Amino acid sequence: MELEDVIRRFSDFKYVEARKHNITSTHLYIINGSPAGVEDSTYNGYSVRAFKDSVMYFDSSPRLEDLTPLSLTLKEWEKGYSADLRSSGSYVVEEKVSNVSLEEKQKFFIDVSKNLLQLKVNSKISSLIIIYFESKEEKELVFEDGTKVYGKVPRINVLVSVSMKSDKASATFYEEFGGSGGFELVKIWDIEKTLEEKIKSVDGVLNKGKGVTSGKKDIVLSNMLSGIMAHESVGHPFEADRVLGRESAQAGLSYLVGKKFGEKIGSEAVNVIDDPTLPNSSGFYLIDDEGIKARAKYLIKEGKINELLQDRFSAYKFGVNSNGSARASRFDREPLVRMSNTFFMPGNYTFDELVEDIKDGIYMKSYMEWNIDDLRIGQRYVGLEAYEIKDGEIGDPLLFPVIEGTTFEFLSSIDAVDNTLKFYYGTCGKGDPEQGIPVWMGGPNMRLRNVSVKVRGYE
Amino acid sequence: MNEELLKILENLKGYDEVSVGKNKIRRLLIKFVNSEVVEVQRLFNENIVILVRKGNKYLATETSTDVDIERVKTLFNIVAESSIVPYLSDNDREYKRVVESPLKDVIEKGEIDPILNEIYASDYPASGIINIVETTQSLVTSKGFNGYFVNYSADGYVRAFNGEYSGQWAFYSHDISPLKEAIKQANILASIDGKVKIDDGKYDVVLSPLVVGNLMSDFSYFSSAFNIITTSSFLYNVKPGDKIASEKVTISDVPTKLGTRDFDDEATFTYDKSIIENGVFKTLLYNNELAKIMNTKTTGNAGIITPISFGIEVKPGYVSFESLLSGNVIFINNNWYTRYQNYLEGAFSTVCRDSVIVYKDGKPVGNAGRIRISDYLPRLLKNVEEISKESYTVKWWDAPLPTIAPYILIKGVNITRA
Repeated sequence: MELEDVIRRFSDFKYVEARKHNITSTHLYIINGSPAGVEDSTYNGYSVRAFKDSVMYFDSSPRLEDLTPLSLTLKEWEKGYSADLRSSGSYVVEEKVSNVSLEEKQKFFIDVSKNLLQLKVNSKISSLIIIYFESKEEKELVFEDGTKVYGKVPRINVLVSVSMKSDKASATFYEEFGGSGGFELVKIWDIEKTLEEKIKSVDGVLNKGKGVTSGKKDIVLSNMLSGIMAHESVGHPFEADRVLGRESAQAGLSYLVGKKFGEKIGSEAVNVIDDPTLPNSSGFYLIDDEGIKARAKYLIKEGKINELLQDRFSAYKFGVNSNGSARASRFDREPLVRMSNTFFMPGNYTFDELVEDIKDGIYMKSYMEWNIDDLRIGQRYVGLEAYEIKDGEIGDPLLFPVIEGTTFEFLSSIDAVDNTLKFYYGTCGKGDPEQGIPVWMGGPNMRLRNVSVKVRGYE
Repeated sequence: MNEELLKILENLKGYDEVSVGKNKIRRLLIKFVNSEVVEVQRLFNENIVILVRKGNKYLATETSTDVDIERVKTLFNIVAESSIVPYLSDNDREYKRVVESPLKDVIEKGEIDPILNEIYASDYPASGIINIVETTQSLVTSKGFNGYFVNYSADGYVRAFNGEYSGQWAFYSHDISPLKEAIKQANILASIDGKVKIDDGKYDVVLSPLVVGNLMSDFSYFSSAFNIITTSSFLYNVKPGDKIASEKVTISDVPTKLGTRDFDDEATFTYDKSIIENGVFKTLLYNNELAKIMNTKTTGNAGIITPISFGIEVKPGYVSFESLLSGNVIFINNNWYTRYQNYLEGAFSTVCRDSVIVYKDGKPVGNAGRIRISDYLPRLLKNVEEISKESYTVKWWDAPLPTIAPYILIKGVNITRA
């Protein structure tokens, strides 16, 4: 039986997509310098999503022959789909280095772990866990009009979790690396050096960190912080299905409900893009899971609402075309409107120029807690590596400053962004059943004026 | 019984221990928005999980396709010795339990009209998910265990919208009967309108069963012995007998009471046990390997390498829910996005949503909106003042572990707002 046979089986439906979706993956665990096991998984299967006037139906199974229509009559929420032209085609990410054995990979990460544990720092490193994860995702899609799409994306991820304790304070933090490609990515990331710098920096915070004074201050958010803001405060609320209420019982609605395209929600320095076509990115694809060609989307342009992330069903309700944002994480998950690689555009300033005219402020380099409300308005960042800025100079480390405010306050207070652009790996969650998908998030260093800083008030 | 798995076991000779498990899940899911159905999904999953150990080397594999024995053998040969290795239980019993349920027809035949009629009848537009699930767990081990367990469950959640106000409720059960009550509760909570602004500070709060469910999912993580040895839990230096919570607090892992699991992944029969009893710490959750390292016995909570909970109960108290609202308190219907600054301290914040009602002298004065609990989980456990006699079994998107949860009054909780 082939995917085309499933299409014929669902011929009563106007819209039919059938997908073969295979993911193979291997995990290596290293705990405190010692190997702690290997897991190998194969997650292969099939799905069909079919729509007609009164029914949207999704069926999935490891066996193609299981996919069969159910007789249903519903008060259907979906009313139609946009009349976009599908694109047959394929996209494949190559592994430049694919001949490294599992043993060599294991040894590499054991060495990294041992070297980090031997770092001379004043705090005790009580735990250092490395999880290495490699996967290959392969998709074949066939649609009711005969369009066929093939995609193959290998990915590498490394998650490092560290617990540190000094006489004065403790910290637990994660550092994640991810991208599409082969083992060559691990060399590019220079994991050991990155972690060495971070551990030393956190050690400085734990031993020498000063208390924070609350009040309005100028803040410089690092590339990492601008990345999380791009993803969470802009990307998610710009998912069209969320604006329509499709996720209203799960992750909630969006602050864009009731707003108009062109409306200003940030300063002119704010430009946010989602682009799935970035080579070797975690969110890479060239044709989406509804057969629509992928492209970069300008979500916010010079502070104004410009474009939402759309699939064919949300596009129908908005009266626009899909911009190729539908993705499913595995065979037993429906395609949803998803981010890919979401980032603030860099500007013309240097980092030194951002800092030089701040009299009393904070440089927040990394964070340890972050969350946001279900309208994507109220959010909170608790700094991990954070430093005071005094008279235009980066100064002493600070103990865990808290920034809590609204998306509109933050986006409007960005008065300058520097000329750097860095990306960070993330697993983006959405939907029920939950779909975690790999993404990048990134941006430049950004200066925010007059932001409310709080002290952890319950200590 | 489990012939397919026994055949795989037969082909994996030469190891100290081997287990072959099969987890089969058939699920029918209804997603609805504004009291209309977005999609009906039928999801079928079947995974075979193989564990092989020889000395201090082990390999765990999982596949949804045919098992490749040669790949298992090849991979095993290249893995290194591990600092933690799994051990199977000395259990050579044959065990079979098949729960009969009308939910089977819902999954197979799509008999969902009674569910749809409840959803369509919601007073306010309602969004949510209904899950009907058949779970088949099979496990054979080289120590002679042969187990087979078929179970059915229904769970779901409903968020009712009254303009800018909303209320949410959830359930977990062995039938669909709690759906009606969930829709009713969500509508009642959504009907409470009016606004009141509160400032950052310490407040007495009443957590609803949904919030309790969310925090208990996290508490089960902190109770796993794996997160103790990796110092990723605020319980890392706690010993049995230590007082770590208010004496009103008893928290248990209850796979039997909830009917979620009969045997764990290492062929240990599950049982209910207190993690905290009347405020006193009793036990972590163990599998064989962590129990061996920490010089104790398994609690039947394997998870290979990582012990897990199969469902939590917070023991109900003796007072009514209404009585908890009698003073100056904030009632919190729901929360999401709980994130930790520091697992060693249990420092976290979580964002409240839906009905967040400020009570003055026992009377509701308005909805405080999306405030944030910014506090320490260990401190909340110590500051529990009272627990209601009413409790609900809940599970939802941001409280994924089935939890029997009452309402809980906690004194002096740190609240912030954006």
